[in-house]
Amino acid sequence: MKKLSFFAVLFAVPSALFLLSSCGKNALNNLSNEESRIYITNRDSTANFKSYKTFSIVDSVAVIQNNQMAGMELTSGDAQLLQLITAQMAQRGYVLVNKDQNPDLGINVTYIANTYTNVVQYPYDWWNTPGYFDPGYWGYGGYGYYFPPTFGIYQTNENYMTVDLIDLKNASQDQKLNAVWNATLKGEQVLNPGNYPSEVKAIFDQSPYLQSGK
Amino acid sequence: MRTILSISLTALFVTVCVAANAQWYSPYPNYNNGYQRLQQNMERGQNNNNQYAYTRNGNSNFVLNLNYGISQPLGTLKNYADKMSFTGWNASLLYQINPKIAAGLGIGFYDYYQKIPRQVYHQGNTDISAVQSHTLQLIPVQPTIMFTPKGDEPGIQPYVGLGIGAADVNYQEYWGEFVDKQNKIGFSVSPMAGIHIPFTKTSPFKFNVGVKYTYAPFSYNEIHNISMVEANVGLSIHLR
Repeated sequence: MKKLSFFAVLFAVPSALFLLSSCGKNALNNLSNEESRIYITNRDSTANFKSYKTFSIVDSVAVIQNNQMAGMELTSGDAQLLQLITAQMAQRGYVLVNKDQNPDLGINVTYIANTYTNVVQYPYDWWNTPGYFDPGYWGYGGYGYYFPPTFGIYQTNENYMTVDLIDLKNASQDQKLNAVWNATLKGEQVLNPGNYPSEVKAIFDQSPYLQSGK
Repeated sequence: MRTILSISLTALFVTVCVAANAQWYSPYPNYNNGYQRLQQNMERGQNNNNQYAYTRNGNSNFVLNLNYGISQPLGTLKNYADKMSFTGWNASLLYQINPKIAAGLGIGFYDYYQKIPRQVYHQGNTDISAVQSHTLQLIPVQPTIMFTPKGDEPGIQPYVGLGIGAADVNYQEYWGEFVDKQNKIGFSVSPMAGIHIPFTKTSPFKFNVGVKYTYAPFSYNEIHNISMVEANVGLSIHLR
């Protein structure tokens, strides 16, 4: 009986350690779709945003799928998105012009949808490496783990949106179209048109330097 | 997962308690007669007329401690996750070298979490608007020594202890749903103190109330060394 008690403890303590180590708070379970999204903006520190007065915006949205151009689209949601960006730029004092009127800034809008195929291989590479549960743990010292070789396949999706401000005013100086500002929007439901108003407002609110000198 | 953990720990706790208790028996009935008491002591070679001489709680030298802990992060860990954590456990299995000193292995688990409402973070020319979720799990595994000045004496027994060993630190800082994570195993040290309160004179169970400080030199992003103080309650079980 003494042995039973001692071995019960020997089993219980590592079991408790294993259980405890595998259980932390899962932060993702505590996030709404809105909270899951992040909005990242970058700017060229040398750009003088007050020097730009006019802008033009693309007439459709570029769609990139799996890192390849899939085409242009203009759904009602896309049109709403372009309109929201235009309105924000106008509020900052920039004047919308046609692209053939030599705008100072051009705005590109892109959706990116990448699907990654991931493969998990059985048996796991780590099954018989030091540190993993030795078969002796189960009372079979000297044995090895085995599972018929096979593969499991799963897919992950990554959707995000980018908005780029292109410096057209100074394009002729170095034969390059420099982006002076860009925004990347990522997270759950980021390409849902219902979320566009709050998303566009967020990227402009966090960029107060976007202001025309008029 | 938390439910599974709770059920598992409860089952584990009950199993250990039942295993320990099922094998415990009172070595002698509760005699009130002084002669009978003397006879018992003589049988055990302890003719000192000490009524507690036969109250050793268990006849193996192993002591299992199981505690639930509430911990408060300190220092830069407090900056990272300032909320008191109610998700903490520690356990130790100690060998009673003599009535005053026990040594063995201690483990623990502490989980810290803080969710920060959406705000804009500035990093050079980059601005990021995000809801941040900070999580950190600390899992110390430490050879532990415990000193009980009163030894086998009856009544409340104060103790001090020290654990020195390793700690697995699992850091996960979420920006929205995107995680910046780091996992490191490094040094950790935990001084502790508390009291054991026996349930009865002969029971192998003692109630524990203690405090424990843990330090681990983990540095990543805003955290420069982990320190926390824990208040714990639980059981100390003398195994048979």
